[in-house]
Amino acid sequence: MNSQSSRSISPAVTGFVLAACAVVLLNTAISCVKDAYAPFKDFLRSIAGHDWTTQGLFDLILFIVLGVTFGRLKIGVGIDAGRLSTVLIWSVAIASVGLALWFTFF
Amino acid sequence: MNISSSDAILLAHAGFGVAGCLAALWVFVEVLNAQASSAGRIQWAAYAAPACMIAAWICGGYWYLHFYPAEKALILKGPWPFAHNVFMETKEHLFFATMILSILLPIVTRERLTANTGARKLALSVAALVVVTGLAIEGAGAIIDHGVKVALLQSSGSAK
Repeated sequence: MNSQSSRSISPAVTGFVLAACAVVLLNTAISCVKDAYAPFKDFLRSIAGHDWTTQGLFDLILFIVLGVTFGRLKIGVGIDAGRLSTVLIWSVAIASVGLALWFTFF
Repeated sequence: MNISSSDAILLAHAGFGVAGCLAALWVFVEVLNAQASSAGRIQWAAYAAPACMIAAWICGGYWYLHFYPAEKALILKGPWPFAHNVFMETKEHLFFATMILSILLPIVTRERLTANTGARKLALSVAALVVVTGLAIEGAGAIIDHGVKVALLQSSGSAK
């Protein structure tokens, strides 16, 4: 087995990793927007009875839809596994620190 | 002993969260030395992590919607309002990232970890992120709990 095949990730897995990156970042953006703009929070509340419930269900559904779509379209295929890990770690770090900073200072 | 349904649900929420972190830690340790004989254990632990996190979401969500508003009011009147304003707000939204990462774990571990160093690195990253964000959320839960405690101590002190 050569080094290329021993490090390559399948399109389906790559798709779900990229979907996770997108969803965790979007989750932080939604959290900040709904905190700053009450009509958006009210809109989320009107869907599932509570803005937090709607946001969680939206994240879950979006992750599945994006993961399947990215996998079928083979988006990100060829990205090195190490780079994929780095993108995921940075996405989670930015999303986490972004949430903490937002709720600390705003 | 008087354990209310509120207490039971809250403890179940924290318990499932810790169990999810432990399952992810188990995946991390197994993947460090992935062998053909450990593939079954890795898959089992990788599925246990999201199962526990989703259970933590359901228990925590029910408690948050039905019981937290009273505690939130106490915290905001007490000496530690940041326990809600910073820690609860961050915790309740960061949880979704941890849950998504835990669902990603069994997907990533479907790759041939014994032969694929890249997949192994990816699985280690996902498992570590679940553990780190999960423990941060557990810590935030402890601070929120202490926010309620100091608020109650203050109100009982001023009542005397």
